[in-house]
Amino acid sequence: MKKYILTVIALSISMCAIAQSTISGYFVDEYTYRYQMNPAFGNDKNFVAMPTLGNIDFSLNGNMSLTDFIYNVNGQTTTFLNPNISAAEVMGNLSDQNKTGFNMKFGILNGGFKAFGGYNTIGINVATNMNVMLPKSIFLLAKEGISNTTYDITDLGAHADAYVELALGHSREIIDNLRVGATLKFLFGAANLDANLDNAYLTLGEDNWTAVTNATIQANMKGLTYTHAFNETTGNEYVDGVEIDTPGLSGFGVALDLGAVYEFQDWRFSAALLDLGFISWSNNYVASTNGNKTFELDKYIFNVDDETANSFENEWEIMKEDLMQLYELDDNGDMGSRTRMLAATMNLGVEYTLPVYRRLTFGLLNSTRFQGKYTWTDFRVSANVAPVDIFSAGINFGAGTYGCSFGWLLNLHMKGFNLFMGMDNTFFKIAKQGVPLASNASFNLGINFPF
Amino acid sequence: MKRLRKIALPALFLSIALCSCVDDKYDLSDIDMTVGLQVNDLVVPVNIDEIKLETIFNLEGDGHVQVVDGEYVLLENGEFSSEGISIPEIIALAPYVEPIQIVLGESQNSARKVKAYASAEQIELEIPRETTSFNYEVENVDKAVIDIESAKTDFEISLILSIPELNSVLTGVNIKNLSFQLPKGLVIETNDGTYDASTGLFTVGDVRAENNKIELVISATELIFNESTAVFDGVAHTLNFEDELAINGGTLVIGLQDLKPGLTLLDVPAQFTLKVDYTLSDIEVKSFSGKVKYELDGLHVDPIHLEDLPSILNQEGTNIKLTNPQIYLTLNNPIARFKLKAQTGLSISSHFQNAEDRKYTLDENIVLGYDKGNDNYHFCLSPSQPAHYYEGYEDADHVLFSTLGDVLSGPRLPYALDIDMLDAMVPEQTVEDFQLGVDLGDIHGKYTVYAPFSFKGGSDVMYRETVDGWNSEELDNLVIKVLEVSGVVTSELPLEFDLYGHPIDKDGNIHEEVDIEGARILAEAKETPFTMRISGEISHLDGIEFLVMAIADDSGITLSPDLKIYLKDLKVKVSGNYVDEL
Repeated sequence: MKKYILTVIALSISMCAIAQSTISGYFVDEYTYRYQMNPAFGNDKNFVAMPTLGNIDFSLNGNMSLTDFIYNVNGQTTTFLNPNISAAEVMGNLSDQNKTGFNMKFGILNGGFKAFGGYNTIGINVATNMNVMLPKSIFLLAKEGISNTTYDITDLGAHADAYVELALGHSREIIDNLRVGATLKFLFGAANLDANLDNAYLTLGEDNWTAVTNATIQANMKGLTYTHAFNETTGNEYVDGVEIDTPGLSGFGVALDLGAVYEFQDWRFSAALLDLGFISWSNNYVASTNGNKTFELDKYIFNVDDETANSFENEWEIMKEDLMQLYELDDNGDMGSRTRMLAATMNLGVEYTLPVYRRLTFGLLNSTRFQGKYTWTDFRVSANVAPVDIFSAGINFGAGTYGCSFGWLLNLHMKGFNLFMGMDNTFFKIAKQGVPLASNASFNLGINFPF
Repeated sequence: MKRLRKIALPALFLSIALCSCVDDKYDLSDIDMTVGLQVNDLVVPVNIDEIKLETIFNLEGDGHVQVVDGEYVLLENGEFSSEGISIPEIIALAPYVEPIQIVLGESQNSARKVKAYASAEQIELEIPRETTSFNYEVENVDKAVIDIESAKTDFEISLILSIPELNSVLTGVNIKNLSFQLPKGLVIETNDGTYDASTGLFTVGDVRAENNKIELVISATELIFNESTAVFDGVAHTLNFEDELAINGGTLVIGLQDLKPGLTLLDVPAQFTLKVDYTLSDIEVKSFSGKVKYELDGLHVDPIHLEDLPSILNQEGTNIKLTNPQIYLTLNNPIARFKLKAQTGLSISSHFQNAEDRKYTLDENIVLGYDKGNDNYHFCLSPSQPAHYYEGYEDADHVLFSTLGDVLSGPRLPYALDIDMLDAMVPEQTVEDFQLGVDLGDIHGKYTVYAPFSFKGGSDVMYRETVDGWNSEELDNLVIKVLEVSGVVTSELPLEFDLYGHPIDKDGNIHEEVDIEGARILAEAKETPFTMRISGEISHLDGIEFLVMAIADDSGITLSPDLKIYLKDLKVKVSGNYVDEL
């Protein structure tokens, strides 16, 4: 059963991995959704997207891959916890901060048209972001074994949000060779979750063991309530889950994408700032330790006399109770509204058109997402070609926070029909079950109707 | 639209297929879920509160080990008594005594009688001395009677002097200077005559025999052996009293006034017989003076069972010698009024399972004097005189029992102690007026075994305790390679400890293949580091058998509940691994 669970988790990751982000299409000719990466880009044609299939964009980014956790020993697939896998090998494959993020942008309905002296876009999209960060100490504890050291898992955290955006964009050439654009987004929040261990470490000293936790969960979702459990030994009521009843609109926000494109001879420079905005969440359900909770082993003095108050049995029970309190979160209730900035993305690009064959361009793009501890950056060089008027393609090689990657995009853009697909992170190896073994994966697919 | 979707999705998977290749090394449908967790010299600091000895002893209820004046003491109380002291009466059955018959006067028709009687106003006839004898014999006199100097008794000598042949003639007759020979050495109080104990002569003097008959009952209250012919053989336990009885003399006087009316002296027979009949009573000796030696019987003390000793002391290999245990005795002396002492020896036998008994004997006898009369007499038996006697025995006499401290020694502690009174007796003593045939009472007493747990140097305490039942499916997957317990100890105990821990597997077997280093904690250790270590492959762990070997020092400190062991900087270091299949 556990094997199946693991497989399902892996497949879930693979489902994320079957979509590429659109970075590979940044410099590809007639790629319909370049304006989402830089609102200054305008298409040559008007278009309307096929509902729900106009732009499906999945990406999984991180520095943890399946092969960091799955190994082969003597022809047998096993986990990193297998005693035949050395701790050095496992720890060598892991970073100090192990991140993984899943982003999805799903176009419900999009369209673009020329008017008002420029190019206009309108779109309704669903965006979902999930990020998890696991410090290396957790794996160190599990793999290297418990030893007298300090395990700092302070940076363990998770974030997730989901919202619907209504985007209205406009771009125009304001002066020769300089085109600017902006997209105004109205954001309708569905849910937001932030879970953080602000302070968490376990110091297993030879003279004392100390554990400190400071955890907070902020959940913004209409109809959400925390469920409680009662610890009879500590007398504390603590959060043990959530219930969601009649979910609805949980927040509202506004964001702005800004972009500019400047062409100089065979060079085209571009810059964009995306998702400059916020969502104000109306309900902020907070569960927290409400400060540091500390466990000190030397506080407990065991007495061999069973009749004493601090007998082994009694003291052990007290110690267990105190340990439980480390992870017992208090339900602070609805703490009111909470405004949260969106994770902004900056794209800086430069494209060079080969003079001798102007259907071939080379590009360099830096994308950086600013999202606190989940921030990442990516540098990517690409070669893009449009050998015929109805087809263009690009390949690229990237390097960044999550390692190196190879990307590509194919774009068929006949009159009246456009199909594109691509991957920013191409995974070259998959498990027998089709699960990608790489840490990064993405996929982008869309069908649109240009006119 | 649907057609397009049908195209898009396959295209998606096609792209994956085109871009990727299957790595056969990774088969997510067949994952070995073996998990191994390492523990590398993990040090677990543990704070242990001070350990009081009372926690280790863990006394329950009213067992033999109790706390007295803040010290651990083996304490046992009991009572005992002898059978009643009684020496049977000495009864000498009355012997038959041949009567004395004396013929007085002339032959009846003699001329001389007629001539004499015719003219006389009275007739006087001398009574000659005539004897008879008696012999009292008693066998099986109680052996407690060693010698008799005198015996108080209700001894009666009845004698009837009669002249029946004169009854038809005389109303009575007078006898002058009448005397009898009685046994010598009697104490006689009578108004009927005087008795000389040294000669046995009983002088009646002048007496009238009405109806020609005299009856005398002579009561002797005491028989003085060295003045009499009574002989007591203290070896053969026989008593013999043989002597003469005699009418020693006197003059029979017959006067005219003695004649019955109408008769003359000539009517008095010329010859008649004077008869003396003796009747001797049994001699019942009620008391005597002399020498006694009495063996006291039934002086029995119930065994002291020691099964309820604390388990820490009651195991194989424990060999304890106590510094100065004490046995306190309270005894009465029911024969103190006779100024008689009693004495007894005493031994204690230790009984062991599967080992020979050991016996320890008091160095000298307990002598029960008589100076306190009926009050109780207190004794303290111990190797040396304690500074303070146990409560209630402040006036005790000390009796040396040099080996008493070894009573608990042996291959292990004895399961029972037997206290035996040896040669309990009233030793041979001179006694005055010692009553016979009555119960003089028993010697009853109380004892208190009071043995403070002050161990002699070299005493061993061996203690094993198994803590098991730990094994579970999870623990079965654990292999411990090193288990080390270290710390700094301060001990108030006068014992040097060697501590060992032997791991036990789930079949109850001790892991023989592991290396075990014991920890030594010195007696009265001050801030002394110690380390106990078990190393090797310890698998299928189910528990640990702890072995404690303690050796007492010579400090003489008595164990008390408040003696403490302080453990500081206690650390448990563990190395091992846990392998399981999830």
